[in-house]
Amino acid sequence: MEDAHQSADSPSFKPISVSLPSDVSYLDIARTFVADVGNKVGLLASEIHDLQLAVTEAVTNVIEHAYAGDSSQRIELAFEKAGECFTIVITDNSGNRFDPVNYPEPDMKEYLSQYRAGGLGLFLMRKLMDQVEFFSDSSGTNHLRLIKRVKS
Amino acid sequence: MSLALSQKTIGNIQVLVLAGEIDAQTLPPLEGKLQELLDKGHYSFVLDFQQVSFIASAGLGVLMSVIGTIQENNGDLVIASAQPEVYRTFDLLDFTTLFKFTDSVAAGVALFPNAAGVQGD
Repeated sequence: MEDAHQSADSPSFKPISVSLPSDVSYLDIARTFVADVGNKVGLLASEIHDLQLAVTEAVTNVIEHAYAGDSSQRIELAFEKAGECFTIVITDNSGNRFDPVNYPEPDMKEYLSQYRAGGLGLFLMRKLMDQVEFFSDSSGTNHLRLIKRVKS
Repeated sequence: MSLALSQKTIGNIQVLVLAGEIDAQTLPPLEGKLQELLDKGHYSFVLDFQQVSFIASAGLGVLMSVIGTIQENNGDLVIASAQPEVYRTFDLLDFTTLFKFTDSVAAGVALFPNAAGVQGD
């Protein structure tokens, strides 16, 4: 190949999405889907693991908090890659808007000294991803956008 | 994917062998087993993580919820043979300061002063 200049996205990855029940017994399928998409895009195993962990945390939070444990609802995961940015958007229709301002990063030293369990998902997502953004629209739909810069 | 759980006793140390993925779905049996052993007065644990491929914060939360009781009773909880990516999840949240990690179950068992099987009081 004399001219190695190719599009950064070659071979092109078309956006893909999947809808899951709001039920923790589908967390494993969410991770399997993340791995399948990650492998198709050519991500590193460590990148796929980070994305699986972030998606597990995001979906668990939606199930337990946004939907308050109601397993009859739906959660959509949408994936796209643009340049070096791999983006996953997690969407729920709970109407329960999440305001991350109310959840500042915990002081882990203080947190650990108090043996507080739970509430670590958002903190972990922020550690794993380059960008974590929440936005909602007037119809009660919430979106969580996770962006990770990837090497492939 | 599920989480398989088996238990063995070495001296007075409870060794829990875990295999699979630990998340909000799979952790109730682990939570129940830990609580059952605590209720029976066992405070020395080695968790064999060799076959654990994934842990979410829900799993860390369960371990965190028992470590206080364990340490108050002069016990400890050691995590043996954690895979690098699983260890990293602990490390990202500074949980590596809360639990001891060893390369093998035997090394974990050896950390306990009465590992020879003498019941401490």
